[in-house]
Amino acid sequence: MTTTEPETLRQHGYAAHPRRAVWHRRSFNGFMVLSAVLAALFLLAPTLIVIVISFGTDRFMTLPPSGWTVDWFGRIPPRYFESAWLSVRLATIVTVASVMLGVPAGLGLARSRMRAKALVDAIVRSPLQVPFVVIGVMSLFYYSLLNRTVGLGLLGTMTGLAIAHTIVTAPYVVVGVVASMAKFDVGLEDAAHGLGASRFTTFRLVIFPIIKPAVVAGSFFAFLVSFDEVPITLFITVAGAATLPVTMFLDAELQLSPVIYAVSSLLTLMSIGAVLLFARVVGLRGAMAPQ
Amino acid sequence: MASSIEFRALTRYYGALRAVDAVDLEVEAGEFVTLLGPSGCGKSTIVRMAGGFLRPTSGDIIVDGRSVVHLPPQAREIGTVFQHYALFPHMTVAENVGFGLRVRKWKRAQIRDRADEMLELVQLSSFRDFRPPALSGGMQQRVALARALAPRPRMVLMDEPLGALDVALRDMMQRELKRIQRELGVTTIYVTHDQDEALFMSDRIAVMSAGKVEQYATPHDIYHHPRSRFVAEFVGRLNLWTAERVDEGASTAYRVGDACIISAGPDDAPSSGDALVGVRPERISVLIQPSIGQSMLRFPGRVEEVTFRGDADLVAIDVPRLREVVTAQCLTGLWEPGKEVWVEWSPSDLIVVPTANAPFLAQDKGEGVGVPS
Repeated sequence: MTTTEPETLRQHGYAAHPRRAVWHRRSFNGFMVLSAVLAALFLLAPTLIVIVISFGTDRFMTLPPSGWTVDWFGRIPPRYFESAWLSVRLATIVTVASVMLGVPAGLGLARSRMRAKALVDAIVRSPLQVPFVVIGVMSLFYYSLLNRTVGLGLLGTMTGLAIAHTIVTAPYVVVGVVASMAKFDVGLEDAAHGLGASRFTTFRLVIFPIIKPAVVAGSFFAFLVSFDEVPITLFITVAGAATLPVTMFLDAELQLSPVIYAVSSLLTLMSIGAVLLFARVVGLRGAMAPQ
Repeated sequence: MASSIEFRALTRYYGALRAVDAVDLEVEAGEFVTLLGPSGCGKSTIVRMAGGFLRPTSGDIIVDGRSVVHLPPQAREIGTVFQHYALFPHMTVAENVGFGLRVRKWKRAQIRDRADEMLELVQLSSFRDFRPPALSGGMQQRVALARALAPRPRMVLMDEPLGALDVALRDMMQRELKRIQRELGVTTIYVTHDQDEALFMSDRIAVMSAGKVEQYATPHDIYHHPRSRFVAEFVGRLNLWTAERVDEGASTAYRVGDACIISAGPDDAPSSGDALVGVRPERISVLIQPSIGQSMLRFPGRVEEVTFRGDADLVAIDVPRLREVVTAQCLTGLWEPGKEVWVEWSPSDLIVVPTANAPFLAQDKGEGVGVPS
């Protein structure tokens, strides 16, 4: 304890019992640290347990494992890699589509002064509020209908999956763009035009740098959501051409083999790697809260 | 560099509202013209149309003899300074100032030189690598001005540029803007609702009300010879009385209450019927005894109320012969309510406001002093 501390505390109304005040503050700090550690453990436990078990020799979930091995990783069947590749391609397409739809929509919404703006805004955001399982059911229904009426086969195809995923991922980009535009004066565009910049130059030099963090963050979320998506995909996928999470889900229903734990461990490590890389390259905090 | 601009029957509707109503206005090259009026009078709308950010409903905008009304802002070469600065937050001060040059494909070294030159003009050279959000409001506004001036525009539009600044800073910025404008000789259209700002800075002032120009004249004429009741009441304080014109031999006179007031100024009023006359509070002397001056108009009265204004007292004096309460501006602490006094002014200080619509005046009768908000 430094000598200045009681001074400070007295100013804060602890004049009567300075020593007790210090004790209170210390125990409170300890309590906060303890709660934080417990909360973190609670949140991390399932992930940690899966990683631990994936290195165990036991066929069935045993904690702690009776022996250690990396065998399960070598026994991951090739179809897991195929579906992982499918998931990566799908998530990439979905991310690109989300940006291409979300940026213009977000800019339009941010700029517009039309009366129906709130309504359009609500419609654009609505996929985030509808349960994914409902969107899955509706997509199945809609794709079947299209197939029967105009012969457009979207069920089980990459296009079909990409469309369904983009419906729920594009809003992430839209919301980010609207939020980042809302912080700045609409006069910025007028200012750029008045200084001689064309519409395209204005977008390139003024608008895009301002919305860039939101676009990057939105793409990141779009990719993660698509890559991780089960409820919608489950309805519109076909056997043999399923995404990685769906393949894992279906396999886990049949039997909880340690192979799935191995896949889970790999995915977790890859995700952590991706987030770290993202944070390193772009800055996670910067992306979440522009400027 | 300096260009002239002219508005011809410029009109703009917002739905059914006529925001700008057939405005004719001519600004000469190098002139500093202020559009002065209360909010909603259409002054900002005119400037937005001049900049090309808003399409007129009808009418024409002529720059150096050529119509620009169909040109987009990019092609007009008019610099605009916005009230909320509209600086690009992701660029440094120097990049902001150089933006218009970068867009015009100037060479990098030239851009740097010109940006440095402009920053020196607005005295912000040491802040060239700062980002705008790190600067104070006054600094940001100077960056905005430097940015608007850097591409050597044909003229500069300023839409309430000092509106967001506190009073002390605004005072300093007014001097600063005026100095820069004089130094460059750039044609300037300035929008404000602040009469002091307009009187101090302008070569000419266009006083606006309800989408129309009420009067377009030098600050001196606007203050001393208001051409309408609106101008008389909006600019400065004024004791304004409805009067009846009476012929008094050679000079013109007006009957206010039971008194007859002689005017020595130029005669603007209609030759008969009702008129509006007034005297500015600072032109009225308040005395214990009548002075011995020959030419003064003098009336006895009684002090009713004294309002402290910091640099002066506003003294309200009931003058029975005028049947009016007259407000005079006096040194502070001289008078208190109940005191019997004399009010005096020179006939040349009488302001005569020409007016055609007598019925409108009758309804406002009894209003003493026009105090602008």
